[in-house]
Amino acid sequence: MATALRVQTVRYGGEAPRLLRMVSSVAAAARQLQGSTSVRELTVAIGDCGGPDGPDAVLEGPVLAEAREVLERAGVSLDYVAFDTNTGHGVGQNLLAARSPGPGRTADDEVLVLANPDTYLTPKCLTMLLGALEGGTGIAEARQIPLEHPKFFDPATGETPWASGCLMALRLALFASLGGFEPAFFLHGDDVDLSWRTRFRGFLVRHVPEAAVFHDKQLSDTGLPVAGPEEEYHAMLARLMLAHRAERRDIVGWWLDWIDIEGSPLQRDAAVEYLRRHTEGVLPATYREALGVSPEAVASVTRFDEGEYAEHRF
Amino acid sequence: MPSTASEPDRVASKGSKGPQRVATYRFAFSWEGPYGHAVKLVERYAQRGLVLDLGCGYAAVGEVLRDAGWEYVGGDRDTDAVADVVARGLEGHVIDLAMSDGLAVKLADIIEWRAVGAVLLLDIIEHLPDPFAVLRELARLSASLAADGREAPVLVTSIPNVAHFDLAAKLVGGRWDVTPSGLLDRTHLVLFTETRVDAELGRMGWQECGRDDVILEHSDQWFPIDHPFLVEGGPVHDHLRALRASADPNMKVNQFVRAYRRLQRSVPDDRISRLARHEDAVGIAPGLGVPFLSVLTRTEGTRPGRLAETLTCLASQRMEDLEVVVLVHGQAPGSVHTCEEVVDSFEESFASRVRVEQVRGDRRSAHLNAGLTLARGRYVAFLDEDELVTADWAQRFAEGAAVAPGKLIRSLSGVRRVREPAPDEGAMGASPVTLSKPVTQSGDRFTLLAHLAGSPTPLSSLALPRSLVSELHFCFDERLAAADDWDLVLRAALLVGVEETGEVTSIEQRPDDTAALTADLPEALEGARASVLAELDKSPLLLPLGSATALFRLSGGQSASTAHDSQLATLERELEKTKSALTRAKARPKKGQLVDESARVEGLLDRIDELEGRAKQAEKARDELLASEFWRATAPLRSMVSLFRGNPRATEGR
Repeated sequence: MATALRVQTVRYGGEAPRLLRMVSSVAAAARQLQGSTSVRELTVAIGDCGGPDGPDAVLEGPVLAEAREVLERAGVSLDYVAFDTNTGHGVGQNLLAARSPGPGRTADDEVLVLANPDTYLTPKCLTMLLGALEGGTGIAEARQIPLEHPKFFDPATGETPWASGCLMALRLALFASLGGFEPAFFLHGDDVDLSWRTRFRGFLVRHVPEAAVFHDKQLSDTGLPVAGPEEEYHAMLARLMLAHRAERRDIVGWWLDWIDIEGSPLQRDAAVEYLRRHTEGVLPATYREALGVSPEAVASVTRFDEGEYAEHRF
Repeated sequence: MPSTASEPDRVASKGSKGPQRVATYRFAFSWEGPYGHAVKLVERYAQRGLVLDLGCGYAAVGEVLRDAGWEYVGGDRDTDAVADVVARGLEGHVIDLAMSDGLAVKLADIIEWRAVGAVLLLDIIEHLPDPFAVLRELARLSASLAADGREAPVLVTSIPNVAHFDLAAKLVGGRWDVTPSGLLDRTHLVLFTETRVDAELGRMGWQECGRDDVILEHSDQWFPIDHPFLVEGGPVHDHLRALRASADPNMKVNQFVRAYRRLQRSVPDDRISRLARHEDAVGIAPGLGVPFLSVLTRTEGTRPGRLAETLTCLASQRMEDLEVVVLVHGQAPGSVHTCEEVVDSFEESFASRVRVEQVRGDRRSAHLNAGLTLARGRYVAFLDEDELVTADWAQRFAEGAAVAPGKLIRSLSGVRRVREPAPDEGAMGASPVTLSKPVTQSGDRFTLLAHLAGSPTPLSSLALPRSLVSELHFCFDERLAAADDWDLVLRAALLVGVEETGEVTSIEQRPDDTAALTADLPEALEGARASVLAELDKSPLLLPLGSATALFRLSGGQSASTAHDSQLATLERELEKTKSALTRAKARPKKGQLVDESARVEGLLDRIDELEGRAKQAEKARDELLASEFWRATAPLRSMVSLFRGNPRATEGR
């Protein structure tokens, strides 16, 4: 039974009020958790990739003081780390996780909840996620609102090919044994990669519909979320790297052809970066090379559907 | 002094000496006029005793009251008038209400030991430079009488209403006709509407206990009778009249004839709140703590998880200047408590902005009307338990209201299909199974005529200015079994217009089996729409800019739109013909296969080139037409016309 829970988020700029809302929602969810589970010690860890000034600056003292006050009222401590550099999401989460477990605890005692800073947890969200981390479940993933992610999950078991880093929970011991996120992924795809490596270990990745989390996405008139420039670039680079790790040259080729015909300038930049890494031999190792798994296992875990890294429901 | 049913016998007297020399009127008594109404209020509410008529002039009510058994005492600053009163055998005193200092003491001296049943202020306070000082002195008098153990008198007033329709309609046209007597008597120094009467008397602790207002269909301001805004049956007059009727019930009130009792204790809270509303309305004191947006969220109170998700969307709003009113319409035991628990599970800074209220009624309109009375924000938005919104939902409303304050603000919404989980879908818990991505439901641009033809705008994508509620008592029509939202949008758009944000900010989760559940909906919908139209037909409509051309086209008039239709059809026909000729030409033997027919083949190839050129030309012309600003701007209108013509494609498209 986990006795400690650590909610980690990595920020790079963005509005302070939004982060405060997120922290407040964690405080409220923590209150629910404390009354109904074995968890007695809760921490919110914020990794700050911000610079010294400008819109991407680190959090200011008063904002931190307010966050700390809100959390303390709910019995939650704050662990704030200014990285002094933009580490990217995965590396930032790794650095934060390396500060755990706290004194007197083992990695088995602690659950990590990895959250985006532009989220707001429903009050029962943490309770539901923690409850799902039983049995063979390696990662429990929250359901996003108002825009639900379209990837497949089994309504009977919740089993899903991968968990979104928007909000996921897993044991610190598992995270550490996997070596955390793959540093080659800067902003996108690291969650898919972590999920697949979790499944190579024989654990399930589970979608938990009752653990709802608000994710601040803008809706386009096509019903799809509006992607920012960073997302456009890094999501494409991540697609190519995931296909590479899975040794799906057909997928890599498909995407490169697509980019050639329909890609945006940023997606073309992502293709150029991928090809540079490929040429210089600095792409992350394939799953077979890195984990020693069989081609059959790779084929079973890493499923692509129309170029995406999972079948979509709609 | 207003002229009403009692016409003046004579408008003259020497009046009193002083800086404001005002003629004293000699009005005849009439039971239909303000004096008759005032006497009836005295009879109904006053204890037997003395009736003190301040500013009595020639004491039109003197003999009537005396004959009815009251002890009449008149007071006026006009010595001639007072002498006349006395000469008629009535008690009269020279009292100058403009010199209000010490008035209470002076009146106490006149009253001496006698019981006072009523104090009359009939058509006088509007002539005083500081009528509120007089009201305050009368309050002191009332308090001192009560302190002596005597019955406190009833105050009976008659005050002209400057918001009578005749006067107000002409003011819209820029006319302000001051007259020798009447509603806009040239000697009136202070003007009153009902709100001001209530506020000022309330401020002095006078609480209304009865009323018998003088109602006049046509006041003395009903001139010139052919003024365009006074023409009965004319669209402008009728429209103004319909608007005014929705604003308050006083458009025909010539004089507010009312009775008041003095509150001996402190002013109650609801009174203070009414006063605060008045001050807010007239801009004296902007409402403290009034949020920009009030969100009304209906719930049965039986699905706490879904309510929590909707509240989570609201807690995540970038624009935090909002309050939420959770309207619990379910009658299941504990449903309110369930909702309160959900609210309490949120962090304090959000939970403190949420109220949970039990509402009654079977229909959505009844629940939302209850919510409208509870809302405090400048705007009101609607978000049911099954609806979700993006973080910029409220912010977009605020931006729209900043650009066009007072207009209806409209964003776009998407609908996604969901279903309840099956028993074997254990992972779902109580969460719905999502079946589709959100599909934008409402058109990009709102046009009144398209809306009238049935184009929907879901409530969740609207913010209604609460001024419509506070000023015009705007609400949902609870008689409608369906289309109450359509009706509300239509009426609001007709009154204040629509400002569009152009952003998709809300998502309605629609059960996948809606069609099966609502098989009878079209019939109910059509019936409701017919009722709405019938109601709208009772008053003239004020159409937005551009409506003349739209109506011209709608009524079948030849227009640029028709010309474009025809041009497009010609181009489409040309394209089809060319493409088919091209296909036929290409199907013929090709070069190399029939060497000895090379000349014919060359001819065919030339023909193919020519046809390809024509096809490209036709395609280009069609694309240019379709991309033209005119074509895009008139899209809603074309679809509406198609709808009216029963075009099956347009019906399917909805």
